[in-house]
Amino acid sequence: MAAALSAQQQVTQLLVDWSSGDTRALDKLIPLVQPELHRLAHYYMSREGEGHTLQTTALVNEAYLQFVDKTHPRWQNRPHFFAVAAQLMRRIMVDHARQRHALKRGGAAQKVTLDEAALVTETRAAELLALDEALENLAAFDPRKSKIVEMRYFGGLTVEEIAEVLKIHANTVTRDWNAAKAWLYAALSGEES
Amino acid sequence: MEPARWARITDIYHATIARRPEERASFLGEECGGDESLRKQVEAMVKSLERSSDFIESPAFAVAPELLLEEPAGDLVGQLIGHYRIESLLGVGGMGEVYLARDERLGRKVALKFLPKRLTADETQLSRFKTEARSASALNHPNILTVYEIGTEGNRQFIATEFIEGMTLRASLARGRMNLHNALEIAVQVASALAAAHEAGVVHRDIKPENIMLRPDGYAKVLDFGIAKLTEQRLESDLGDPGTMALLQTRPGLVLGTADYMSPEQARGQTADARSDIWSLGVVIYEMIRGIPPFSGETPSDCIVSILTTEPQPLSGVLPEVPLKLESILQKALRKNRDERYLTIKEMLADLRNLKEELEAEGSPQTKARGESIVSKIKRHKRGVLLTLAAAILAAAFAHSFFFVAPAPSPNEKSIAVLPFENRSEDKSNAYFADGVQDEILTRLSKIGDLKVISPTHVNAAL
Repeated sequence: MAAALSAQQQVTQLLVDWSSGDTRALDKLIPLVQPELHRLAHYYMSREGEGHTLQTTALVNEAYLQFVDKTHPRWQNRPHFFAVAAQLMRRIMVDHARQRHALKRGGAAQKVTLDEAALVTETRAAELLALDEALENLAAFDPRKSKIVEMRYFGGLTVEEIAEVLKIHANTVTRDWNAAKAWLYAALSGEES
Repeated sequence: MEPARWARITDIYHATIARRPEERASFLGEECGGDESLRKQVEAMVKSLERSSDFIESPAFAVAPELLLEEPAGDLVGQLIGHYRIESLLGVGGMGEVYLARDERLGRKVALKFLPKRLTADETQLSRFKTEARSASALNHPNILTVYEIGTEGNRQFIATEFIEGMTLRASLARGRMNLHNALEIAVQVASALAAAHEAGVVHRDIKPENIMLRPDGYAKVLDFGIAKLTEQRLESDLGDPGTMALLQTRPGLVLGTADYMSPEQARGQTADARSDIWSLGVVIYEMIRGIPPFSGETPSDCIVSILTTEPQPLSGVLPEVPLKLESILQKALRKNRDERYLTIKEMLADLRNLKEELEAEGSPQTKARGESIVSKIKRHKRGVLLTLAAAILAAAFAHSFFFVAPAPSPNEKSIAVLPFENRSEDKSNAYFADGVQDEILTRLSKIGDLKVISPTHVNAAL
């Protein structure tokens, strides 16, 4: 148990460091949370037709709980931790999308693939990168809406949880989410000026 | 964009969408005055709202889970791993990726399962798993998936097993619950696999519908003996409350898997034993008949609470056709205290068999089972087959000197071909057994280092 606990404490400390601006913490953090991400990925990849009915939020919440030391003073407040985890999830997914995207571009000459799954991944990777960029633009003039999208889309947080993190009313979160979504969609489909 | 301008855009946007669609254009015109760019921006957002109902509503990790992985699944297709040529990805599960591959040496289809690196990092655990997987496979039981090889490629471990065309019990249950007869048929086969394994000292630890394959000919095969060993971690006593959270922390893989089939002792983090398999089989039988598992919850933690604290709803309460005898078998399998369960799976198997026979005697002849009777016939035939086997190998070795001129083996290289077997009995349902015998001999012979085994495709082509 000692080893498992120390891994949790380690992850928690690294998350604290990272969220307070220590960029090097991320390099140590990613290998530690990778197994959890694997499980999450495998769950979603194998889920179809399997009849599981677990709720996404509940599932992700439990996954987060696996790598957080709940006794750490900074994480007394669960939603706050989820918000940082959402940020981490975004960072990891965008990095992977960027690698896939670069790989496909650069490696196309050597390796031609007609694998449909790979093509789908490639499209998703490109879409995710575009969304990440649009979210970055949105953050420049409306950081709160950008954060809300990050927490909900990358972190799987519910409206109520987001409201708790930001200490605003749930209705405001919904209103912000709708406006952000409309703006992002317009931006991504090239209709925004 | 200026925050003030953006605030104005969102205000008008919200005011616009609060109005009825036919009023929106005129409202926008009034609000924006002559500011054409403002009107266009709000218009674009309003238009987007209508089209973007699904846009980013599901979280990214659910839509593009492959982007959570540092190495993409499915990237092995086309590659040669040892003497296996990977043909396609069959599936991805919590225990790794499974590929369909062709054994180029023996020319047969195999399933290759690559274990996730995180599970194979611990050498002791890995070797315990290998021992168990090998001993389960060595049982040669018709209801246990045959493991051909446990190998290493780079830093990844893989297991080569027989390839089964069919579906998992999970996929079958996704289509709906089973009738009593089919459920008992599968229950007896799984119990019989477990009885053989337990006798050899191997506990499965993870009996669930995902680990039971159903073949179109009615055979059930239990997969992944010993794999659960890789995720098992001993619970240290220094943990204050060895309850649910302890489990969630000490059993990696559990949280995103399912807790539905887990025994109370496993849920408490205690070591599983043969009686834990009895429990899990009880859960599977219940689910096959009712369509839903006896214990469940919105999250694995809720489910564990249900396993530890609630009694399952009696089947006969919901389904009047369920015999009381089955109810009592399930009650005996699903006792929370493992000391009160069936002492051995053999006892449970005997009860299941008796019940099945009773129901068949009552039922119409058409509904009588075939699968089990095939098994017993095979057992009877086994001795006879083994005797002819030796003769067949000799004949094959002899035939080889006639048929296989090219490529010429080097003078010191011994090679052998195994000729196909023919089903000469009247029962056509035994035909698959002929292939099985050839397969089995090939597998055994291929383990002999200095012997070159001729691929059956070559043999068949030469015949």
